[in-house]
Amino acid sequence: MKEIVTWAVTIWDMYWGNGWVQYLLALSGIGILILGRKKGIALRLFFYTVLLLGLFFCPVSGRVIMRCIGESVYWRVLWLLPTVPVIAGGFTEVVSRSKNGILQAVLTAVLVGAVVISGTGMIKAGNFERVYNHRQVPDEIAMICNKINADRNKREVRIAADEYAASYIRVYDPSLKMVYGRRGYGAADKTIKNLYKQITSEIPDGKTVSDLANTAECTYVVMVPPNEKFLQDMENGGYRILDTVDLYYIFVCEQYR
Amino acid sequence: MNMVIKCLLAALWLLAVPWAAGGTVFYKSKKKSMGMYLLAGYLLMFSVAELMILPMMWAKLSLHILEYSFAGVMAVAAVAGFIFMCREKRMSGNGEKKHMETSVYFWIAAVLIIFQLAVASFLAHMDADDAFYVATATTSVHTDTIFSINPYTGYAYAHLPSRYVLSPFPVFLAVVSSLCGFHPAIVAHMIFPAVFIFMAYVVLYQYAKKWFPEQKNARGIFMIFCAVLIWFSGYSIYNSENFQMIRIWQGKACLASVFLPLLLYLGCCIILEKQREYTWLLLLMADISCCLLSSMGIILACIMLVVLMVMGLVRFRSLEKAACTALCCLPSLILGAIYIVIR
Repeated sequence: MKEIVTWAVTIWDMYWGNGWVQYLLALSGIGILILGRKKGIALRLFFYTVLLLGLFFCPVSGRVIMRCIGESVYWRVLWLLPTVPVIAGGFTEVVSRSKNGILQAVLTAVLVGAVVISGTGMIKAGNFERVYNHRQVPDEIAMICNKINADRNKREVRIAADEYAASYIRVYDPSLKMVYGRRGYGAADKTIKNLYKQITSEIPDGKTVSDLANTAECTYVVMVPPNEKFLQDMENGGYRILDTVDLYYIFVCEQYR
Repeated sequence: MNMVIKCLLAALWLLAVPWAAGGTVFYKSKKKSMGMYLLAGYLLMFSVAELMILPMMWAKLSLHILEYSFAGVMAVAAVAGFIFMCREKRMSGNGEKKHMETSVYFWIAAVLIIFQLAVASFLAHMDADDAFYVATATTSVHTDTIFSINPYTGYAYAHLPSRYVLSPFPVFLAVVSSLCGFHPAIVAHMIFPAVFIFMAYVVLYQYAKKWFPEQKNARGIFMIFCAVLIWFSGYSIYNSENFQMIRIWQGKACLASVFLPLLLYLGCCIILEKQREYTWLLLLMADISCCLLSSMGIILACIMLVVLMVMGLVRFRSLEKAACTALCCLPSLILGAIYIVIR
């Protein structure tokens, strides 16, 4: 029981990260109790929030929910919290108490400032980047796919790629088949699993990669080589360099084209 | 196909059709609005999608059959809804026209929201989960199949992924992409953010209208706070507002930011009001929609409804309300049982 409560508290801290939005939620709750208790929806959201938090921290219900959805994603229960409407509503209650327009504007600005300080902006958090393809996959992946497509001439191919490239290649172009996908998912046998492990290892070995890629009949291998020796080993193993895109090398084996 | 025509088709299938289809849900209903037409239309569309995709997937039918049948059903619902709306407008006569009351705060909020839509649509966020969610859609369109090809590799599934098949939102993405003529990755990364973030704010506006029915300034201020809270949600990668801004094309993000808040709003208006404001059908469709979006939605929607049912029981001691709420949980319970069987 104690572990469940400890885990719930850990998850709670993780969910709010380095923000103070949970305190804004508490403040709004108090605001609702003092100023908005005559409004049905405000009180309903308040009691719903209290009940849900009780459910979240309660060891019995916590254990049942964790059994259903899994411990590692227990934080998703907090998606049920009406954080935005409760904070926005509570703050608006405070602002709309004042009948003076200027004071309302000043109060709004102050509370908006409180939200800004309590959180982190989307751009500052590094969530967005500019790309130059409409499908919005990483540009280097789009270029890799285009180069492979130009080379393969519509023939069926099998690709082995590192973790990053494997995650986006089939998002960009589903006609390109892969021997495994993200995290090695979809690997058909042990050889392919070993190939994934070798390609995603800290310093992949060119001879092992080319041997395994040959066994798996990979037409292309897409990855960032760790050193010059790797390139030589791949060449010796039958995989010549087709092209490069930024740090990525595209190796092709003529035998499987 | 011309880009303009594709954009018009996207607007038709993602805005006009659901909005008009909402008319069938609200026929003869007293409480309705433009926003609720759109939301109800989406609930109908997602419910239809869930109920059509699951059997067609088990029957191993091809994507184009699903696409045509889904388009047919939604087109009929949209035409019927539009006729109902016109008829109701004619029956209500030329009485006073309702104008949406706005304030300067509302327009400030609108600017903030449009900025967010533009950022989410035109800038990219790389998320490795796309390797499954978006690739399932691209694979479905490319191979004209429903969930029978492994999106990670492009080869046939040895075993269906039981965790995902009951919530086939990627197939909905595939259907919409086929109907619009866009690549699924373009629909997911550029069109869905604009549509679903807009819908998230439509849901929040329903809260504003209910909370501050007579105060137009307050509604605008409420929306400003919402927009700022959502934009400044980069404090962690787990919160629903962050999911809303960076990857709303994934079913779980859409669930967290649009459909769970909508379910809660409907629950407050139906279960927690003495005189319910909307029909139980809406709540049922909201539960089915949550099931379509994510396997997590199957459970979370159920938890939310149970909490609301307890609150309703304490407040009204009405067994009828409790029974109706329990019925609305039924889709979640059935799918949960199916999951236990197939996993």
